Amino acid sequence: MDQITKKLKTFQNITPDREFSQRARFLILSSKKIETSKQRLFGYLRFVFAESRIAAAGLALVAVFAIFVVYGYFNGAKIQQANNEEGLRLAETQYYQQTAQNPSFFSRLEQKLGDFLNTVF
Amino acid sequence: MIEDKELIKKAKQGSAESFGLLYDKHLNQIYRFVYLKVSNKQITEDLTQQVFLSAWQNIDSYQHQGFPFTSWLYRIARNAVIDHYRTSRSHIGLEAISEVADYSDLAGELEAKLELGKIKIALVSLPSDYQDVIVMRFIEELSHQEIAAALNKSEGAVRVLQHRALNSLKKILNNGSNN
Repeated sequence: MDQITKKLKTFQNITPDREFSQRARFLILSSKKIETSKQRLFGYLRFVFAESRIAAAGLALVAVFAIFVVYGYFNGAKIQQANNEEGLRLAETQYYQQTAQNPSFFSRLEQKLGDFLNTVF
Repeated sequence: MIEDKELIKKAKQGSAESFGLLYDKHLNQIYRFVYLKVSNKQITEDLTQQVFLSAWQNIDSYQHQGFPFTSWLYRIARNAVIDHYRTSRSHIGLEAISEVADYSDLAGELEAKLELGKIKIALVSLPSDYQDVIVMRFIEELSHQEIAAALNKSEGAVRVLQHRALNSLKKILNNGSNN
């Protein structure tokens, strides 16, 4: 370490005034953060992105709900149709069973007429 | 003592108190750096305030990439000084000697004060890069790595710059003493 570098170290005694340090500290820290146009743009994009995420999530929920509704509607219609056909079949079977057990006047007449015609011819 | 990293994290979240602690910690270094480059107390105060204000406004853009916060502050200070010289060309004269004398009470004797004044004038007359390296290395005692980060140069380039800067300073001082 030569003479010059030793002397340079003397400059370490240079320090700011206390009054300046305090004043500057106060002014700097009380200053509001200024937004540059770039920061504003990023802020806007962040906002839009966040908003669009919320919108996308909402849309997805609505879509899922709509799928359930449509599926339920068609499935319900199918079930109802099947029920109706089944019901019809049941009613028909019941009708024929009842008719076989308690034949009506006309069916009895029809049968007797059939039997008579069979014996005659 | 809280680490710079922790304080920066909090300052980024908007904590003025944390930035205040960073200010307290680094003010002297930055003030000295600016003062030794502009040689005027009033301008030094203005520029130092500007440096910290700019650091506070742009703390979000600071990213710890292996070099300390001080290097980032030096970089801002350097740009502030360059801008200052671009807009107004300051003159260095007897004012530099008298102001150094004010700060060098410890040196005692008048001869020593004048010697320091000479060194200061020689320092200010060096190219900007040389001044930066001498101040950072021999006054602020930063490592080559820290200086390299502040000057945006490689460590090798800083070593070369330091060698040349010291030689230039010695040359100017020797010429001054011969005249």
